[in-house]
Amino acid sequence: MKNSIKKACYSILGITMIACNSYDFEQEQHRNEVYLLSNSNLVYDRQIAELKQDGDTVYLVAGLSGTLKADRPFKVALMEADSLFKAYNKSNYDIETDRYARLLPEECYTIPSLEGQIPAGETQVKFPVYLQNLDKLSPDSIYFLNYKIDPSKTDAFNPKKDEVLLRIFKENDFSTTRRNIYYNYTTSFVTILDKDNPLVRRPTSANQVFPLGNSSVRMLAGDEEFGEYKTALDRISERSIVVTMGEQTSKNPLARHATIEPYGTIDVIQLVPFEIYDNTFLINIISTPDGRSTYYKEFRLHYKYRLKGSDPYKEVKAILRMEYSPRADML
Amino acid sequence: MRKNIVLFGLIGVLVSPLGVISCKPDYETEFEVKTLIVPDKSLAPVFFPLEGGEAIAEVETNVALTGWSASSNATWLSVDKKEGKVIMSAGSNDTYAPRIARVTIEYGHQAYYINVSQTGKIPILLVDGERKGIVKSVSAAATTVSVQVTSNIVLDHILIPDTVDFVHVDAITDVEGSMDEKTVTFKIDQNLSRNARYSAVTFQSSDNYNHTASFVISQAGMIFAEIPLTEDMLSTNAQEPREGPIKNLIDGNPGTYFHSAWSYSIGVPHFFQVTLNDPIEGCIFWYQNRNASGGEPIDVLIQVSTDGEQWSDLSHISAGLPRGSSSQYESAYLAADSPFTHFRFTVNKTSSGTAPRHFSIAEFRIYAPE
Repeated sequence: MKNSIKKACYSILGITMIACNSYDFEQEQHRNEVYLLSNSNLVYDRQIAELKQDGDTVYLVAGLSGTLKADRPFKVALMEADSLFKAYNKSNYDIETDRYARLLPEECYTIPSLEGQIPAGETQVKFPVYLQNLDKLSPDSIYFLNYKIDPSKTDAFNPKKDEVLLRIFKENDFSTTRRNIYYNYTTSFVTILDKDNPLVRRPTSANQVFPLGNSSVRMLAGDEEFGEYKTALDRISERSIVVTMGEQTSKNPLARHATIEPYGTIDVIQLVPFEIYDNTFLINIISTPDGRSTYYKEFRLHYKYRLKGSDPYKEVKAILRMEYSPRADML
Repeated sequence: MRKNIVLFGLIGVLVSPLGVISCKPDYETEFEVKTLIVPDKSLAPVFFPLEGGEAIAEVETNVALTGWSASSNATWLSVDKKEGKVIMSAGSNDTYAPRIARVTIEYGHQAYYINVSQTGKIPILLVDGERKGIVKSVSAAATTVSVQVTSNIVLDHILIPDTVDFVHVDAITDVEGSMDEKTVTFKIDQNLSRNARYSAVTFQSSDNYNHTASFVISQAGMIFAEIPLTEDMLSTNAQEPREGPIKNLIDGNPGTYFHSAWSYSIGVPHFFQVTLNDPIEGCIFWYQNRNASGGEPIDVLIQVSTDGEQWSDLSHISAGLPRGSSSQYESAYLAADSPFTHFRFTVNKTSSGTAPRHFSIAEFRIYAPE
């Protein structure tokens, strides 16, 4: 009897020891895998390049997934690709090939290295993309860089996140391609300079402003319209002006001289300053007696233009205004 | 029993201070509040005279001098931060325009702004001694107009409206013995209409675009006199024999009319012409359609001649001629290259068809400059 009890006890003890055998918890954890940072459409569009004289830098970002941080470095290598780029154009524009997005021209960027490594214990590595000559890019086109993971030189990676379209936005102090920027006409006049048919209009509409270079923007002349933007390329070219900001004025350090030039075929002549239409870009701070201030960015322009040589000139005295917050400037 | 009471009492005495100590907050509650205030009177706008100067803004603060900042956004205005104050200094303003600046006094996220301005030199810009109100009247003939511009600023803009095409800057000359005076001469084209016309001329300087001076040029219209016409001065290549003798053109009665040939045909456009007694260099003509529709000229060729043999085109009018019955038309002034004594009115087209085609007119007049 005692032996039987002893055997039973030994058996239970043996089973208990076996039951304590270690379990492979790692099979329930996410693996460490390299991926390229992007949204659900595999586009990375969270960075905006500033149109500075010496260029700006954006980044291709490779991350490391996994429940636990890696205890070893992960090699990452990138290579050029075009499959996402082609898929983007096909799915968004199909046969409208003139609206296709474009790959960023080579003269506009430099990537010093396409190989890097995610150090042990860290979760990402950034590949800097040095951007330059962005003033040569059309503000009406979409530009991408298309890169994917080089499988031969990269450690374990996620095949569903191994390619990215890096969207290139640009911005300056006056506008951005990240979103539509509108300035509203305020206290403005458009006068047809025809003695037989004089007509004064008071535009109160909004004028969309596009960034071009470090200190230049494009906008429609006077009260012209470009209609449906998707088909407006020719109309934009023939109806737009370029406004370039220069040095501070001697009278007001918050004002910069503005120069007005044609964008395309439009005949535009900058006129001499007239009263408040003094061809400047002004940070206009309007303060109330209780100390609160409202901040505006304003183009104060005086010019005349015509679309055809046979047309009479239209004189434009315009204040184009956009309210902004200096503490949280969206631009 | 008594021992227990003493024991528990001692324990209570020892534990009580611990309770008191444990109620003391474990963090510091007596902060030193740092404040910086610029009093309202120091926030008032500051105005500097032409020669510049200093102004002081008081700063009430317990922040160390290195802990707050004061800055100016203009190079012409310097700020100096001292204990309890900010000194704003401006030099002389050598320009002819006022200038402004903004001083910012900051501590952390708190900021005070002071608007500062300084007057500039007083610009002088006068046209014949006035900033505005001068009117220069000229005749209809081509001529020149001169004004005396007095200015201590650079005179680099002379503005003539786009809608004025008859005024041109001819010359800008210095006035001898005067640094500040110039004579500006304008060319005025001949006014070829009966109506007077006007142009404002504005002088502007890049030294101060807001300080302008202007004057007005008033040019009289041409004065025309009607040339008396007689029947023997009129002729035509296509008189209708059954109605509308040509003398009706000048009888002053809009109920009568001249009618060109409809009862027979000729192979060329119909015309009538006027032989003048004295040569003229140009003219305005006027006519009135007859009081019935159908034969109104709508395309007319005006020719002139010195001998009635060699004709030259003066004007081809193919638009703007009236179609209604009894409607009237007066031409613009038609200037010839040389004086002429013969005037021909050829109808290329009427409201009923293309020449050769009959037409009719009730009255006709011709005017020449006095």
